[in-house]
Amino acid sequence: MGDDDREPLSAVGISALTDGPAFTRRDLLRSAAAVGVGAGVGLLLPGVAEAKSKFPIGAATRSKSKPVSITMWHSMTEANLQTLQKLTDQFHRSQKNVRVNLVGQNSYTDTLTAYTTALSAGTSKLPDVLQWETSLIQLLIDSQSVVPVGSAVAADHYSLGDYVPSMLNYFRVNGTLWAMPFNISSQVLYYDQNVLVKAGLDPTKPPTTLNGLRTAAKKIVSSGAAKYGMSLKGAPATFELFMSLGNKTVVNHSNGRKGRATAVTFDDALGRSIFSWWSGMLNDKLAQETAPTGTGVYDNLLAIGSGIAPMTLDTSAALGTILVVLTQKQYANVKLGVGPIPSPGSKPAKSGGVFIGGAGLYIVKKSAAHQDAAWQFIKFLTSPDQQATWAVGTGYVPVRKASLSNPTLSKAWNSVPGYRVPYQQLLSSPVNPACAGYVSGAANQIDTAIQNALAALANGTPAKQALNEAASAANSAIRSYNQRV
Amino acid sequence: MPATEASARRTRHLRLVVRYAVLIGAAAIVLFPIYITIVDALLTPQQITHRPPTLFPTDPQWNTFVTAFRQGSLGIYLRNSAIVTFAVVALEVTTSVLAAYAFVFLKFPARKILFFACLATLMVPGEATLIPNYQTINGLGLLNTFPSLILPFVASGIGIFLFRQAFLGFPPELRDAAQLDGCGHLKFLFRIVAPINRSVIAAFALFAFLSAWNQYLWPLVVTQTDSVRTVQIGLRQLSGANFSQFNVVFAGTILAALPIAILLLLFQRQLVAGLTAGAVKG
Repeated sequence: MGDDDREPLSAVGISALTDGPAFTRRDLLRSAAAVGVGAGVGLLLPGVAEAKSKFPIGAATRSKSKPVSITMWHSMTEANLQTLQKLTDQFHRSQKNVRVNLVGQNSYTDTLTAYTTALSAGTSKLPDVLQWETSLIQLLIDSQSVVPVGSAVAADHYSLGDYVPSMLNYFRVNGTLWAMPFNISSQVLYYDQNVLVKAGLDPTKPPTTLNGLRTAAKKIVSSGAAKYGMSLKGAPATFELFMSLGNKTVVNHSNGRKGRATAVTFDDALGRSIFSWWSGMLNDKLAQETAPTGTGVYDNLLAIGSGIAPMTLDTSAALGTILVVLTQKQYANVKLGVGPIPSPGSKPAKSGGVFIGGAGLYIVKKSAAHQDAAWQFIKFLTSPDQQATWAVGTGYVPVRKASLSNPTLSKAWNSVPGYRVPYQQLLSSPVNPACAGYVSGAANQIDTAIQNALAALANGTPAKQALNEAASAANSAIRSYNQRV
Repeated sequence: MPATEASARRTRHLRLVVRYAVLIGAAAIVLFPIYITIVDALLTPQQITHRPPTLFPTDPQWNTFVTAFRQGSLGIYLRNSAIVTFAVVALEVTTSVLAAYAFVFLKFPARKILFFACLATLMVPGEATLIPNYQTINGLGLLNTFPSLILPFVASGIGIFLFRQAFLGFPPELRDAAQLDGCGHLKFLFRIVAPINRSVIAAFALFAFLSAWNQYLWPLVVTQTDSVRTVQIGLRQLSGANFSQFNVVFAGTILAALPIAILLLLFQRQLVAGLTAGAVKG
C-alpha cells in the first residue's frame, strides 16, 4: 500500500520518541540521495552497453551446485509481504533449481540507501533481484549494476504481448527494457458519493476534468454539503500525471527517454494552467491543502471520512487499506466512489494518459547462474495467475491482461468495482514518451522542487512564480547530476 | 514594619506560584505527546480517529502490547538491540576513560596533536563515514554480524573530550602522592580517578546508550537477517504495518522506548550531576 504513488505504506505515526535526534526521515532522504549520486554512480567506471551482451539463459539449470540460492531485496510490509512470501513459496514448489531468500528493506528510500552503500563494496553484497521504486530508474541505470531485463527477454524469446503496454513503456529508456513491472499503482479520484448527492451532483459521474472538479467543488461548498470540495495533497506525482494526461513531457529529450534529460519542460502553457488551477482551488477555499509526506500523508483520506472534504486524488494502492478502514464502521456515513484521475482543461484526455507508480523488478549484474535464476523468479512473479494473486492480496494493479480471466481476481473485482479504475486508465494510456512518465537521475530533487512549489501555492505564492522557481531549482539539480555522471 | 513584611511575603508567595505555574505548563507541553502515545496505544483504532479525541481510555486495550510484541517480533529485536547497545556502551566508556587518562596523566610525544585528532572526529557527520565504514566491515568479512553493529562505535571523540575535561580538574599532587605510595596507573585510574568522576562517566554512558539504541541507518545497511537486526528497524517494519492499526504502532513505539525511559529514571541523579559537574569545579 502506498502513502503516495511512489512509496510503500510506511512510518505511520512514528513519534518523536523513536525518531529521536539521531535521524529523521528527511535526513535519510537527503543522505540517501547524496550517497546514490556520489557513491553509487560516480565511483563506478563506465561499462559496456549491456543490451548487446548475451543473457545467460539456462545458466541456473545447468549450474552444478543446485539449487541456486538468490536474494531479493523488497520494500513490502504486512499483507503485501505475506502475499510476496506466498508467491515465493509457490515458486519453490514449482521447481527445484532456484531458491529465493527475501530480505525486507522497509521502504524504497531505505532500499536506495542500503543498495548504494552495498554498491560501494562491489556487486558481491548486492541482491540478485531488486524491487526498486519507479522514479529512481535512471539512478539505477547509471550505477551500471543491473542487467536490462530486455536482454533476458530477447535471449529467452519471451513474449511480452500480454503485459499492459503502458507499464512496459515506463521501464523503457533509449529503447532498452530495464525492468519488469511488478507492484503497480496509479492515482485515482476518491470521493464520498453521499456528499455528492447532498450537493446535487450525480455520484455515478464523478468529475473527469480539472474544470469539472472545480465546478463540483463549488457546488459542494455553496450547498453546504461539506466545508471544502476536495483535499489537494501536494504530491509531485499528481502534477506530473496532469502533465502526461495533457500529453506533455516533464523533462526534455522526450522525457529523458531518447537521451539524458538536460532541462525540465513543465514550465509551459499546460504547466502554468495546472498551477493556476491548483492555486485557484486553494485561494477560493474550494480545496484544502494536505501534506504529501510525514505524519499528515493520510489527512486527505481522513478528510473524506470526517466529511470535511469529500474528494481527493491519491494512489490506487491505498484502496485496500481504505476498504479495511471503512469496514470498521467508524465512517458509516461514507459511501466510497472511485473515479479515474481527471485530466487538465475542460475536456477529458484524448491524446494523453497516465504513467505508473510503484516499483519494478531488476536483475542485478551477478554471476551467470544468479542472473538466470533471477530472471526465472521475475518471470514467475509476473505470470498471469501470480499477478492475479498479487493484485487480490495487495490491491496493486495486475501487470498482465490475462490476469483478468483469473476467477479469484474477477470475483474480487466484481465485489469492488473501484479496483478496475486504475487498471482501465493504465490499459487505455497510449504508448508515447509523454505518457511514459519522465526519467532523470535527479528525479528525487526534481520531485522535491515540484513539491516545494505546490506547498508554496498553499502559502499564497503566485502560480507563475512558484512554477518558475520549481523549474529553475529542478534545472540546477539536473545540471549538477549530469556533471557528476 | 509588619505591613511591609507581610506584603514582601505575599510577593514571594506570588512569585513562587507563578514560577510553578510556568513549570507545570512547560512540563505538560513536553509530556503531552508521550501521554497521548500511551493513551492511543490503549484505544481501539476507531477511538483514535474519533473526534473529539479520547484523552482517557475508559476500556484500556492492554492486549495491544501483546499484539505489537508478537506481530513486530519485538522479542528478538529488543534482544539484539540490548546485546549491541551494552557492548557499545561498555567498550565506548572503557576506551574513552583510558584515552582521556592518557591525555591527562601521561606525557608522550604528539599528545596535543593526537588529542586534536580525536576532537576532529567530532566534526565529521556520521553519514560521511557510512561508506568507508561499510567497506571496512565488508573487508573484515563481518557484514550481518553483531560485531558489524558494534565495532564502528567502540571509540568516541566526544567521550574522550568529556572525560579529559573532567580529569583535568583532578589535583596533580594527588597523582604524585599516589605514585609515591606505589599506586600504578591502572590502579590509580580505577580506584581513584574513575570513582571520583563516576557521575560524568554515568552521564556519558547514558548518552552513549541513547544513541546506540536509537541507531537506524547503520544497522539497516549492514544487516540482512532478523537474527541480528535491531529494534528500530523492527519498529519501522511494524509501523509500515497498516493504516488502520495506529494503536499497535503506538504500543510498539512504547515498548521500544521503554528501556531508555527506565534507564533515564534510574540514572537521573547521575545525569544531572554529570551535566553540571564542570560548572562547580574551581
